[in-house]
Amino acid sequence: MQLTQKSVVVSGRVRLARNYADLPFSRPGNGECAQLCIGRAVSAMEKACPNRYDLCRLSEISATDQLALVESHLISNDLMKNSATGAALIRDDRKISIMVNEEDHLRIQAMVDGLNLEDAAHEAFIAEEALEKAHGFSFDPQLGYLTSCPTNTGTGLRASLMLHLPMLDHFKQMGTVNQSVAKLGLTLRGIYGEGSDALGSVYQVSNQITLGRSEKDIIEAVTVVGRQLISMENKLRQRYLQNSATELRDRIMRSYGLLRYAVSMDEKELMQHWSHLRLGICMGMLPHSPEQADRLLTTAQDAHVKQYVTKHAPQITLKEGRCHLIQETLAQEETNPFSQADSEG
Amino acid sequence: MICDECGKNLAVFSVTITSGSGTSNRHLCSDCMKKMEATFSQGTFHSFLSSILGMLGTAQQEQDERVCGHCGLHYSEFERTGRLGCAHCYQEFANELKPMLQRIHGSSQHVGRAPLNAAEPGESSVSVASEPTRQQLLEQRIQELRQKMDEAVTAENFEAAAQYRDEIRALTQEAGETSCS
Repeated sequence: MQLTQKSVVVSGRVRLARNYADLPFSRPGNGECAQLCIGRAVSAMEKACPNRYDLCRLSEISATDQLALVESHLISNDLMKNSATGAALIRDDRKISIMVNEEDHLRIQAMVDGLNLEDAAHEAFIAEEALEKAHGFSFDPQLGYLTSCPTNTGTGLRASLMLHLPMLDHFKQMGTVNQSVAKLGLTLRGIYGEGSDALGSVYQVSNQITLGRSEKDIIEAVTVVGRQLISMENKLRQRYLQNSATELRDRIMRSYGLLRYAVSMDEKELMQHWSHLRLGICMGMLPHSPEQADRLLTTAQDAHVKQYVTKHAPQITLKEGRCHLIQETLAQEETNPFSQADSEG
Repeated sequence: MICDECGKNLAVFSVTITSGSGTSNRHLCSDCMKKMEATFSQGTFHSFLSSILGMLGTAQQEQDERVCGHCGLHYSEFERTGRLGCAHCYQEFANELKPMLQRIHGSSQHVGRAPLNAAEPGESSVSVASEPTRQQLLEQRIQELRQKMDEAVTAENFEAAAQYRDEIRALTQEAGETSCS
């Protein structure tokens, strides 16, 4: 068994907060300004990347579809709260989304599968430049990019890594980790960012400080801490396997059995078993890929399940639908890179 | 000890606030602690944030009724919501915001990316202050080195951390001399 970064990193994300220089900041009720922002963003991105971005006005889609976008991390909870004027421009590969009329006029976010936040930043800056060429952003030589909330002023950049840390959780290390991370100007949050729980031992590590540190330094700091957490988690996984292999295998296989054969399951229970599923895959014990587990992290959440049930089986409950969906996904056995490494090495 | 918030009652609670410049303690009386707990119980990030922003800007509370001439935002509204009305608010409320930014981020000088047209004097620039002084540049460099030192410690690279520490010491001394001169 070979534990790698991939066994811990679920995804990486870089988000830029920007505001148009000639407009007041986003405010609920200022519909005229909000529509102007949407129009500007749409025309800028259409000019830069024709036919690649789809506009999604939240007012035109159902609450379930909005929530599904939150579950896919394409929009934030805050944008959903502002659904009257909120919109998102989503690139066809779903790796970039530009939220319009959230707390700031624009929130440009780029996502990557692994640890490479520099790639995500590069993509975000390309989109930012396309938007800026059309209409300039609020910027002050001393304070940097001016944002609605002073906590984002400066670079307006938030770099985050989504990490699966079941062993740090199991050995109750997260409190200590949180304190150390805070000293570096970073923060640990749950799966859906601010204020969310760390369901399934999924944590987001991101920078809190945006002023006085360059984009490069911020990304470096988040990556360094990410690497450290990956190393700690992997060491604990190895130790647990050496000392309590039967217990570990039993936990993983019990959860796997439930995911494969249960008939009804709520989201909370799913997350507990999902965590064991991903751990089992990354320990080379299950015939699936980590990507399969990561897909379930999105598709087996409430709103996605509701979409699935409405489309395919309107007579069954959400909890039943969740089990159908999980079992459809797990019916496809995929090559497990971690068990391959084991047999080779 | 007297409460840091109201300045009247006896402080019986100690609250630790972590920001970019490190951690600071605030001593609160029962009444002010209840107010803070009430903010927590409302559960929204912004209500919590605005209570912290309010605490960071207490020195300027007497100026709460200041209004941004461009968007009409009252400073008290910012304290309540944690959100500014427009880019000009940064200039209008500069006296309050500059120390607040320093407390939140441990710095008040932007480092990094600038817009394509930033070098040209344009409408988009809302100048809050003139070019950074030598003192500010020194402080900025010290801040960067502190961050690198922390990262080196995290990576258990103690040799590099010691070098950063020595450099910080030298620059801190220089900054002290600059500010005295």
